[in-house]
Amino acid sequence: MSSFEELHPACLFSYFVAVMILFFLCHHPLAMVLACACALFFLYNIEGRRAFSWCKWMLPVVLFIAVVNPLLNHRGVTRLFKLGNQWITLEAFGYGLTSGLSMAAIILWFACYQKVMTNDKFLYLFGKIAPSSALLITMAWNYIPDLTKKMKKIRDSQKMLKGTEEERGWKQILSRTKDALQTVTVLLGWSLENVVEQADSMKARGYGLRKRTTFHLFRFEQKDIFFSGIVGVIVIFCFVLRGMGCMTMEFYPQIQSGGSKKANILFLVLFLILLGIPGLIQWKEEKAWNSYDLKG
Amino acid sequence: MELLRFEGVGFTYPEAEQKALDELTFSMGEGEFLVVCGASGCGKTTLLRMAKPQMQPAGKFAGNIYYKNKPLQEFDEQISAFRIGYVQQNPDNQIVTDTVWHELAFGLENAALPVQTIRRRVSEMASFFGMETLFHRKTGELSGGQKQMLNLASVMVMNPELLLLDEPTSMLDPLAASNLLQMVHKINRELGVAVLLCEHRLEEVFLMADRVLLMENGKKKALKTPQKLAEMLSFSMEEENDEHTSRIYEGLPAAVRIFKELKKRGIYDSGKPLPLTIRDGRLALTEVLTDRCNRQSDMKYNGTRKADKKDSHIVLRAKEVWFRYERSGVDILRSLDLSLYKGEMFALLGGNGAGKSTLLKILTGIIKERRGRVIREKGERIAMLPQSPQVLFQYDTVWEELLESAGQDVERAKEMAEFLELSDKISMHPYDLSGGEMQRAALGKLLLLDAKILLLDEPTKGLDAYLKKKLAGLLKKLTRGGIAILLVTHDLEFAAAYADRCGLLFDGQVISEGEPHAFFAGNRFYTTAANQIAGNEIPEAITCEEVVRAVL
Repeated sequence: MSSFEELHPACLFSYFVAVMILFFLCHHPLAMVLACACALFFLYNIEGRRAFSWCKWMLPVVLFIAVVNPLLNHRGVTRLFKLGNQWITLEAFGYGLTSGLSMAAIILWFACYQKVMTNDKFLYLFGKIAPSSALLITMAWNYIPDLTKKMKKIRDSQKMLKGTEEERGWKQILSRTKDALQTVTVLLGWSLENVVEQADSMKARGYGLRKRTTFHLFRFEQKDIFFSGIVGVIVIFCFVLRGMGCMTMEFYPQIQSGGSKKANILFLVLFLILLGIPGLIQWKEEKAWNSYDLKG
Repeated sequence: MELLRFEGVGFTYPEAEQKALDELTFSMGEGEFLVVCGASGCGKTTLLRMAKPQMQPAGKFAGNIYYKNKPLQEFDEQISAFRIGYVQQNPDNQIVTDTVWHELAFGLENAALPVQTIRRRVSEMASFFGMETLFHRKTGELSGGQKQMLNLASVMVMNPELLLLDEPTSMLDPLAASNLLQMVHKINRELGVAVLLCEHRLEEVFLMADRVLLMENGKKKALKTPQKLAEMLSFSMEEENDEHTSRIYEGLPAAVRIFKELKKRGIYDSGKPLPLTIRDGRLALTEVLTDRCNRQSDMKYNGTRKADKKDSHIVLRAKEVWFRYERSGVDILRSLDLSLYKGEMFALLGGNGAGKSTLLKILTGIIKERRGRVIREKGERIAMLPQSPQVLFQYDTVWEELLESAGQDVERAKEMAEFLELSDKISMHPYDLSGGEMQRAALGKLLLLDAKILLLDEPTKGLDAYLKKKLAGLLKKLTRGGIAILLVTHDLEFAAAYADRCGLLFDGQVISEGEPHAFFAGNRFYTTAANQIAGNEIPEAITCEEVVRAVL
């Protein structure tokens, strides 16, 4: 089994879309805790301990929302204590906590998405719809590092021309602004000059003669079929169970969980498998490499 | 069979008085390797552009161009776009996409080929070019030589019948240039692709070309085999020693230039052909020397050593300088020592990535050394001429540029323009100047700032032999005025001929330095072509003139 990010972009993209839809449908603290845990498991397998730095600022955000919601919202019947002349309720706190968790889950899963769906994959998926915009985006990715390099060269030479005279106070601000303006002017002139040559090179290679195709290096393999099959079945089951009222939670006026206990457990197990797939694939890969290393 | 034929082709750019091409007639066969040479501005680029409909500039056109015996205009654009490949001068500006594999596929995407076909062609070309390891790299991370190789490869994937190359090596260092030309040669020999290449460094292409087309002011002056052209040029050099001929002549291989002189003086048999390669030059020289009265023992030639400037004082000194870019990175400079004396021209040589440009930045103070000291003499201003002089220009005309640097002093700006021989160009936009002119204008800006120490980064890049000579003259004038010049370069010939001292930067240190004759004598590989020819017999002869003088 190869690693998760080596799956076909179409599989990856639809996987993430399905997961995100489920998140929006399941406003349930337990589901969201699972979602966060699975995302962290995946990130840990990709980037190691650095993954936990997410917790450092994710936890305060969750707590913040959990605390702020009951301060602003006083619905609910279970009164905990009185702050000023307003009651703080358990329901409002629960709602805040769930919202915070679901936000954290979405952010973490976006982080996973970022790690996996690189620009070229996105472009491959949507390039067919708009080939010329796709090319434009590729060109832009080429320009950015190029312009940064040029900018640095221009700054260096301006620094050299100015020598070591130093100004202070508002004069410094004024001269810095002037320098920045000059840099941009030179950069524009220089780049425009280059763009003419680039246009020539595109024309020389037949750009604009026919409707272009978009080349890519991706192949739809057996593992992609396998993956889509499993994910598809699980997602359908989850949707059906959700339709039957599983994993719903009413907060106001009183916290109430919908669906039968058995169905809820089934849903959570499926949900866990679905979200755990990326992390598991990555973990297995990692282990395989480790055993190679030991043998080698 | 005939592939391309020009019949009385003329071309005038809009608003230009002179014709860029004038009554040009020639033809080239299928699979032929044809080199176009001539002084810059003689119409080489225009000629190449004429041969590809997509690249034809706007202007007044006359005559006929035939491709496979059919007028070029009547060809389907779809065919001419993919069957005629074009590679331009600048490696950076031709790249369109962000990864190597995508750049290789770009032309085929335009041809709307199915993905499977593209995959096959791209992988085929990548392995022909030995680019497998670069396949997934970002184009921005490649070196200049790799970029130009990629540009060539991404034209070759389209399976062209004719390759047009417009000075493809002028922006590359000698090693990368040689690799690229070898690849072009291989494409010509192994794939049978016809090549039309314009170039001013003739040393290498002369050995590859089937024929050479010599141009002058948009006209055809000669179309001959390299051997015959060398003979003709050497001959006409004697007859009419005008600027045009000498501009081409300076670019000829060293062996040709040495033996032309020897022939003229009757030492080398006038019936024998001029040697073109270093190997043939060596053999011929040994023959000449043994013929010339077996006095090997007397062959103790000492090059005319350049005057020692060490009695004048040091204006710039680096003492045990260490530098690296990142905390855990590799040391670029490791305990480097260097001194620059007043009024001398010091040439620092070294391979790619040896840290030459980094050193210049440290000496100017743009970046700071990690350890060690840079001692600059008080009151002496340091200025650096970057590799791309464009970064120094910000106004619309050369005159405004000079005026600004002169502090609005009209007289000084005027003087400088005259000194740089740019007086007739001052109303032009700096970007419209040719490579040599742009460089002189940038140099002028630095001189007007009263710089007493000049650091030049690869000043001979993109200049032909004639312009190099001109630049050297200018720099000599400056050193005589007491300006100290430090130039970093790949150009061994330039350093040997004009520098007062040379140094080699290797592994972050200046490992050998000295007067050029002492520096180059004894090197077998890292030396000038003239010295490679004569090195066995006359170790201290490092320029063509010196070899000739030594033999006399």
